[in-house]
Amino acid sequence: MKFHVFIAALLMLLTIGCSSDGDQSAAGKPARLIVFAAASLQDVIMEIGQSYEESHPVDITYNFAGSNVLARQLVAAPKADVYLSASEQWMDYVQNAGLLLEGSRRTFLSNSLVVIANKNSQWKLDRPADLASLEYKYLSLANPEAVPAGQYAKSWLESISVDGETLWERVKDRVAPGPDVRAALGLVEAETNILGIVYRTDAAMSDEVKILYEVPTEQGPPIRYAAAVLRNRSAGRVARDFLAFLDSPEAAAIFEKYGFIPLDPSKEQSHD
Amino acid sequence: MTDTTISALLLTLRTATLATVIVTIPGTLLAYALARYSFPGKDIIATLVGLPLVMPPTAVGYLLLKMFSTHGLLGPEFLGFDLDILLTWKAVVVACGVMATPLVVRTARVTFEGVDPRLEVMARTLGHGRVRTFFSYTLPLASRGLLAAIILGFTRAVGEFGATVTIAGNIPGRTQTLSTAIYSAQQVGRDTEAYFLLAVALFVGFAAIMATEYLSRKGPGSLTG
Repeated sequence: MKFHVFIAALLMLLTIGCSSDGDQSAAGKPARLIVFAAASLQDVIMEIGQSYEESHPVDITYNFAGSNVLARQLVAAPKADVYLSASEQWMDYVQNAGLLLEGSRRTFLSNSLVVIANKNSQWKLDRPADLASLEYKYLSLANPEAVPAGQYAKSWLESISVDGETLWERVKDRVAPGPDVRAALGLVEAETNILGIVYRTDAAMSDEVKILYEVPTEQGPPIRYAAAVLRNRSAGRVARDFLAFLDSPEAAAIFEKYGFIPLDPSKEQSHD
Repeated sequence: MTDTTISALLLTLRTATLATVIVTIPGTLLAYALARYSFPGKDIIATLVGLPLVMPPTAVGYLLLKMFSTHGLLGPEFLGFDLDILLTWKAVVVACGVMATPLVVRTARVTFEGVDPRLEVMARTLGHGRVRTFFSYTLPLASRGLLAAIILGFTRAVGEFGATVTIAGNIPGRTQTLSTAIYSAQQVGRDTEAYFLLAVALFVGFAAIMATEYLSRKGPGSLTG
């Protein structure tokens, strides 16, 4: 008998937390919004989300990873209401799979790159070309094959030439690719003989690293964050409203506080 | 097939083999001690050795990362010299070795417990010393079980991911292994490469489990065979 009670209790416990996602706020319950966002947006989006939750009956759940990982997760199983990608390319990938709500896509944010080192190290970088000759062990990047931060870093390195070769050619054997930009940052935080290239906003989040060189925005590749709502989701209306909130002066102030560059939605081309 | 795929496979075979060899000898002796003797702290030692089996591999990796980092117990500042483990192939060996240890020790211990102690006593009465008894009687009798222990340890080492990626990273051509290469290929969208590596993993796993099935069906080893 006791065993049956135990099983019943277990089943009840299991059903808690198994409610379906995307609930509407019909019975005064907050709507659930699932946001897939690029790893570099982690801190800023959580703060913006919190401020949004304070003024709206919404409960936001986040999934932070490299934009490539998120895009591939969405195409495998589109279980998000909002996708915030650190590059247009991965947003294209999700759009080409027919998953975006028409008219919802926009470019909303920019950023810049910095070369960093552990704060306990002695590295100095007078000019980018010195990355070819300095005797550090690894150059920590988000995976330049697929993760936006790494792709931007690679195209910046490719734009600089050193003795007839691109800087990328000279450093690529020392590249340590990470699954996302925060992992690339983590490696530099852990080791003193590793340099890294991350977004300025990531470097600003860490007390353990120092900036050796800031890539001037006009010399680096154009960094564009894209946002969109996924289609056929029950929380679609809330998702569109949340996206509009990202363009609000309140959100812009938070983005700027973290070092991001909000883009005027009216001046950016639509992609639909 | 790209160069990095081949190098990931070779590195995996090399590090898994080395880790298994390093773990097997002390692991077998420890298993024998756990099976035959009682000594203070025995339960604690058995539990500690078994821990990597039940802990999240990333937790084990994190612990190792802290131990080998600059200020850690095995770090350059504490030791006075740099072992240069982190982010090298040596870190792969360490991660795989630690994660394979419980499988080797526990399997070997059960095997030794299955060897009748009276046979050892008889060998001793024939005038053989402890060492000779162990090598000439106990070890041959336990050989099948020990082989299974080694195979299990080796395959655990081949498949190790969490601890490896934490202390060795996932650097193509340097510290990328079979399992971390599958992870990368999948994330980046190189499906052909991911399928190939998946096939290799399936083959290695299948062969290993088949071998242990075969060994267990044969029953305990014999002195003649």
